[in-house]
Parts: sequence; C-alpha cells; structure tokens
Amino acid sequence: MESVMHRALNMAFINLNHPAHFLGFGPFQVSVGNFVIIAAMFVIFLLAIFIPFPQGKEE
Amino acid sequence: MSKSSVEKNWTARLRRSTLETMEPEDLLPDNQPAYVASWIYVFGVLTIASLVMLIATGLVLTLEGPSWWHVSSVGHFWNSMHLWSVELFFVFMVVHLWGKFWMAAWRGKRTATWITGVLAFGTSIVTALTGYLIQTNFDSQWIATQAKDGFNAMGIGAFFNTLNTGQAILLHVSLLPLVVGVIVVWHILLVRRKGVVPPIDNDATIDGGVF
Repeated sequence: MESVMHRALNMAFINLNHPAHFLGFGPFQVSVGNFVIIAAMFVIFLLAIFIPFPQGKEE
Repeated sequence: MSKSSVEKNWTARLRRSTLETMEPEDLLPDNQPAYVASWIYVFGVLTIASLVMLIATGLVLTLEGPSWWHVSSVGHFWNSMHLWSVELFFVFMVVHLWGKFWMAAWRGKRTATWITGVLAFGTSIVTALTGYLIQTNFDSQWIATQAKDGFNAMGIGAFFNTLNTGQAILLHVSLLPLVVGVIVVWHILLVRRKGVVPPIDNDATIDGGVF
C-alpha cells in the first residue's frame, strides 16, 4: 500500500522525489533549489526598498 | 529600611541600574521615527516571528523524536512546519542583514548591536547544521560524513563529531537554541536602547537622541 508520504509527494505541485538538479558556472556550483531561494531573497530585498510603506495617521 | 542597607541589596542595585540603562519608554515604545516607515525595517521582526515559530514547532517535535516524521502524517506536518520556519528565518535574516549592511547600521555607537547580530547569524548556522544532522535520512548521513572532514580539518573534530547523532540532537534541542535565544534577546535590548539607526543622510539624529 502506498504510504502517506508517497501520496503527499505525488500530490506536490513540483515533483521533489528525485536527486537535485544543479547549475554550474565554472568552478561555482549551486542546486536549482538554493539558486531559486537566493534569487527570491534579492527580489524581496529590492521590493522592500522600492515599494512604498503604507503611511499611518499623522499626529 | 535605611538607604545604606538598600545600597547593599544586590536586587535593589540591579533594579536601579536596569531602569537607568533600559527605560520602559525605550523598551516598549509607542512611536518610531518617520524614516522607519519602510518595508526594509520590517525584516528584523519577521526574523523574530520565524524564530518563535521555529521554537514552537521544535517543542512539538521533541515530544516524539527525530524519526516521527517518517511514520506519521502528523509528524510530517510538524516537521514541515519546522522546515519552512527555518527557511523563512534565514531568508528574513539575510534580507535584514543586507538592509543593515547597506545602511551601515553600526553607526552612532551601535557596534555591539551589529556584533550581536553577527553572533546570532553564526550560531543560527551551527544550529541549522545540527538540525540537518538529525533528519535521520540519507541527506543527514551525507551531510554528516562531509562535515566530519571539514571539522576534522579545522581541528575541532574531537569536540564535535557530526557522526554522533546523539550529540547533534542534544546540541540542537538544548544548548544551541538557548545560545541563539540569549543572543537574540541581547540584540533586541540593544536595538531598543540605542534606537533604530537613522538613514545615512540623516546623521543629525545618529546617537539615538531626539527624533
């Protein structure tokens, strides 16, 4: 019988049930998962700087 | 009680020195300088919120042990909550670090605030490593054998053996969370005491005085 964990993995939006994919830039190597996280951090950082903060009531 | 006997009382002296260095208005302020109205100032408290979730989910996981998630969907849920809390914890902490680095947040006698932040980052990484070591799967075996060579090369393999799962569990659930917690509380108290660092072009308020 299929275990609960296998069913959960099969239902995942992205199939994670395989070895990680890696990107290579010369001697530098990074997994796709880590690369996505780092790219997301850059995007969040830039959004935090440029998106205006909602202003509260002036006193 | 006479004044001299109060002076000898260590609790009275501690209370007075605490109130002098940590005024209640600074510890729990009800307003902030105008420049704090930016999303980049939100990531410190987001890191703290993630840490609270990490500790709460970690406490649940301690009830059933590190192998629970292999055999129980409830265990898998709490393990996943712990995993995503640590992912967000590090994402928020790194964005907080970038923000503070680019605004040179050590200005205005805030060196200790910066250093405690560095220490919190470093101890969090070691805590995360011990977490990876106790996943009880092939991933943790791979990390343990690779990290063993690294720690041996640094000359500390005799004190910290990554192949010793029992040592990794105890470090992860008792000692290291305590160290991270103490450093984070210390960091927050320093931020409250010194105030949030002003922008670089607003050095008139740099010493944390009148905003």
